Order: sequence, then C-alpha cells, then structure tokens
Amino acid sequence: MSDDTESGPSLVSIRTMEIATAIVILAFASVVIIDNYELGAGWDSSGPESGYFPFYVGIILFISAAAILFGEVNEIYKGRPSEAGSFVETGPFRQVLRIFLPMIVYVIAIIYLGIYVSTAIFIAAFMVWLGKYRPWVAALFGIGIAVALFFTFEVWFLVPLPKGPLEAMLGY
Amino acid sequence: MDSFMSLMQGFSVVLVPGNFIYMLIGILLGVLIGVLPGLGAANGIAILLPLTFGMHPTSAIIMLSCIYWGALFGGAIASVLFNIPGEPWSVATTFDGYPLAQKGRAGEALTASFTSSFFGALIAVILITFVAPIIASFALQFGPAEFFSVQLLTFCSFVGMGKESPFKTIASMMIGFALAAVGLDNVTGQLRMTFGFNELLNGFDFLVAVIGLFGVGEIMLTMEEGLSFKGASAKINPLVVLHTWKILPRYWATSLRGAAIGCWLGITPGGATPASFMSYGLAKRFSKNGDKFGTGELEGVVAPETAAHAAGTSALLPMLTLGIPGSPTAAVLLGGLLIWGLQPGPLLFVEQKDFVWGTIAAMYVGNVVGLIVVLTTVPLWASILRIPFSIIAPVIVAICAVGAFTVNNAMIDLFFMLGFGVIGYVFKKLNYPLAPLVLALVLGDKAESSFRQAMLGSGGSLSIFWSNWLVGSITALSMLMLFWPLIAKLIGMARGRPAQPVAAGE
Repeated sequence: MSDDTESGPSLVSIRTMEIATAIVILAFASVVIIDNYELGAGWDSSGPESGYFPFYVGIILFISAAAILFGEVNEIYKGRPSEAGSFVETGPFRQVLRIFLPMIVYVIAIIYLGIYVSTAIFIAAFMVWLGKYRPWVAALFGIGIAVALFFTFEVWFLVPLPKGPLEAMLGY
Repeated sequence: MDSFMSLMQGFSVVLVPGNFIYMLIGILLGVLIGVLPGLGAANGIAILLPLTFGMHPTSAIIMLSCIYWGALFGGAIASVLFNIPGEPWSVATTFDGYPLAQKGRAGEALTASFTSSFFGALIAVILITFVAPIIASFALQFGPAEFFSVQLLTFCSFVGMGKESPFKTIASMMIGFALAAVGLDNVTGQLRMTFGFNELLNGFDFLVAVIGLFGVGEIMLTMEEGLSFKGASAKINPLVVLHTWKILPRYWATSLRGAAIGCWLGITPGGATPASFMSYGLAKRFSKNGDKFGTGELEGVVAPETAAHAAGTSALLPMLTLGIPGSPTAAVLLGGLLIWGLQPGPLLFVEQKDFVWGTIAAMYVGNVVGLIVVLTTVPLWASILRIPFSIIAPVIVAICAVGAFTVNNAMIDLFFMLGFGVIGYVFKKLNYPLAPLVLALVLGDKAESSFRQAMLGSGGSLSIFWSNWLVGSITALSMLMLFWPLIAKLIGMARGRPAQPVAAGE
C-alpha cells in the first residue's frame, strides 16, 4: 500500500469541522422546518396534519445544532484553544480521497457499463495504483471477482443487477 | 411449561436439513463479516436482506440471525490476532487479547473469547425463552400511547446512557426522523420534503443508510490509517482448548457479571459495544488482577466477550416482543421482519409461533454450532486477513454497491449510499453517535404513527401519555433518561463542593 499515512500538517481542525457540521445541520433543519410548515404543521379536522411530526423534529434538530454551535463559538469567544486537535491531516485525507473519488467514478460507471464491468475495472485499478500490483495480476483478480459476482447474483440468486453493453452483447 | 413446549417445537423447525444448512451458511458468512474490518454485521445483514426475499421468512431470519452470531464470534479473531477489531464490540477484546497473542497465547485468548461469547449468548437466550412470552402477553395491553412511550424510552435512553454529548445524540436522532419522513406520508398520502424529485418518492431506505454509514464510512476511516494486516500466527490445537476450558471457570463471577451487563444493555438499547466496554471496565475494577489488565489477562478477554454476545442476543428480546430493536443490527433485522410483513410484538407470538420459536431455537443451536465452527476454522480466517487491503477494500465497496442496489433496484440509492458514507465518516470523527440515526430511520414511521394514533385518541392532548400507570411510568422513565446528563451533572456539582456551606435550601 502506498505509505502516505505519515500525518503531515493538519488539514482542518476538529473545531472548524464541528462548527461547519453544526451550520450544515442548521441549514438542513431550516429546510425541514420551512417545508413542513408549508405542508401544514397544525391540526385539522382529522387530526395532526401531515407536516406536524417532521416540523417539530426540525425544530428540535435546529435547537440541538444551535446548542452545539453555541458551545463551540463560546469556547472561541472565551479564548480557549481547542484541545480536540486535527480532524484529519493531509496525508490520511489523501488516502481517504484515494478511495472516495474512485468510488464516485465507480458508481457513475455502473450506470453506463453495468456493475460487473465497473467492478472489474475498479478492483484492477485499485490493485495497480495502490497495491502496486502488475497490471496482468490486477486484471486477473478484477475479472475473476467480477465473474464470481456474476455467477452468484445473476445465475444463482437470480438477482438482476445493472448491466451494460458488454452483457448485452453476450445476450444477457 | 408452556415456553418449554414451544421451544421444543421451535427445535423441530430448526433441525430440518434445509434450515440447518441456512444456519451454517449464516454462521460462516457471519464469521467472515465479523473478521473483516470495514464490513460490519449491520452492514452485512443489510446487504443480504434483499436476497432473502425469495426465502421463507423463518429460514431467512434463521440465516440472518446466524450471521449476527457469527459476527459476534468472528469479531474477536481479528482483535486477538491482529489488534484490529473486526466489529465495534470487539474493540475491548483487543486490550488483553492482542497482548496474549503476542505472548504466544493466542490459542488461549481465542478459546476464552469464543467460550465466553457462547456463555453470554446462552444466558441471553435462556432469558429470552422465559421472559419473552411474559413481555409479549403483557404487551397485549399496549395501546398506541404505550407503544409510543416505549419508543420514546428507547430514544431517551440513548441520550441518557450514551457517552456522547446529548445534543449530538439528539441531533443524530432527529436527522434520522427527518430522513424517515421524506417521501409519501402513509396516513394523508401527501408528499413530504421531496422538492419535486421523483427519486425521493420512496424516501430513504434504512438499508441504504446502514450500508453507507457503516460500510462506506468505515472503509473511508480505515483508509486513513492505511491498514496492513500483520498478525500473530493462529492455530488452535485441541489441547490448548481443553487447557483453557479448565482455567475459565475461575472467572465465573466475571462471566456472570458480563452476562448480566450484556443482557441489560441489550434490552435497554445500548447494544453490544457499550456492553463490552462496561463489562471490561467493571472487571478491571473488581478483579484481583485488575492492574494487570491490558498486559494479557485472560479475564480481560472473558469480560467484554461475554457481555458483547449477551447484549447482541438479548437485543432481540425487545425487538421480537415490542418491535423495539436493542442494537443497530437488531434494527436491521427488525426492518427485515417488517419487509416480510411480520409485525413484531405480542401478536407475533400468537400468530406466528413457528417463526418466533424457530428463531429462538435457532439461537441455541446456532450458538453451539457457531462455537464449534469458529474453534475449528481460525487459521482460515487469519489467512483471509492477510489478503492485502488494496484488494479487500474495493471488493468490500463492490459488495456494498451491490447491496445498496438490490434494495430497490434503484441507481439513486448508490448515490445516497455515497452521501451516507460521507455523513458516517464525518459523524464518527466528530463523535455524533450513528446508532440513534439508524434507529430513528427504522422506527421513524412507526413512532410517528403511534404518536398520531395516540393523539387522535386523546383529541390533541399530550395528557394521554400520563393517562394510566403503565404509560405514565414509562413516560416518566423516559424523561428521567432524557434529562439524566443534566441531572448527573447537577449531582456531580453538588457533591464536588463539600466545603461549601449547606445553605442552598437543604
């Protein structure tokens, strides 16, 4: 495995992430509150309206996130340095991106190439880039696992998974 | 005894060759899932759930619950041999398990952990066998207000007993409820929070959320540490097993205490993970060798494993009787029951006796079979862990993708899975608990409908939740749990100032 796991400088601190997350949750809560209020959050002749329950859920969520945000801002205001440390350092974050970005490409590829072909490419690419395997070894594993998946799901469990042009050519 | 007769009937359901094979498959899959970090029990069961739709519900739950037992056993293997917990409830096992392995006593550590797991589960299943019917018949008196109050108690317990900030717990829970509300409202038929997106018509499926939060999120976290598995060698020879079995009875007190903690934390939702830590902590305090914990004390393995397995098993008790899952994995199983059209609760015991007692009987048999399987196959799992992470990681991602897709045959779920993965990653690092989110997602609709029905019955007044002694006491307990962090803090402050004059109105 490529050894980019030396810590390196901190990318973002926990305190910053706490504040950012709290703000995102506040935004989400606001959406929940507004949308359900418009739907109707009171009572009508047949009992609580559709938006009643989610509306109050949104309010409680808003208050909780505000409390978290307040807690963090208060610490800053009082000039107390954060003892929480780093959320993630550059090195490890790069490792995370090394799987997350390919995952996004993988999911998009599934739409066009079907899951089996995408999986073969995904596994093989991973083995080559991060495992530093030779391409033919990686291709062997990738295709082998994809074929195994194919037989398990399409043939044995009879569970249809997204397929692409290759399978169409083979008559599936 | 009525329970006993039902149990015997359950055994007759389980010991049919077909179901027995499902049990074996479940256990083997479960151990594999437990061994592999990044693939957890909740996640694994969530992925396999859609595949069981074609199966008979009884066979399906036998297989799925055996996956759970297998994972409970298997998590210890990676913990002891590689110091990498395969499951969150195996973390405490690494404290003394790995040092034992380093001293060359891996066989003892593994035997101790498997046997303790077996014992913990056995106690929990016996508890379930005799207590479940009692609770079920008791629950027949439950109306919507009572059900809601029990659900309320479940959620408030997370706040009260969790070690995370109560605000984060509540926030996590509310996010789960909000996400559960997205889509078609069952009662009024209105669309909630879909913003015109057709993809959101069905809302968010808890299976996709679990796969994203616990699967993708976990992989992202594991990548950070750049895992490479170099572990102790693993061979269990029968002599070591017998030798360890002779030593274990020495720790009967620890085992019983662990089992008790596990049963308690399984029933009141907490789950296997908090149970394992609590048991370890208490064992360390009460043991004669407490100060040697962490250097390779066998007792330090017995304590967490007994508790974890007891909790995991007893989490099924409230799930079957009240429809309240006691752990995230139990929540997934509950979701499965609902999908199969089975209504957990008192009626389940009356109308679906075969199913319920088959499941309970499967717990006994699965426990024994699991112990035997796991004792004999350790070297196999150890060698799997030596497969480099650069191969395992993409395979796990592919399995997650398959799992997420098979839920609804919808590509959009894969994108949701990625989104939940990011949430899981961030939340885990910031100490937002994920279990309440999952539980809220699973129970959200049910909790809302109980609430609505209760309110309809009372004409809009909240007083229905105090209207009789049953509902009132459960609601009161919920409030106690909810405000416990505040209460505990106040008590702590009052105790922490003994020099202060006792003038504050006492």
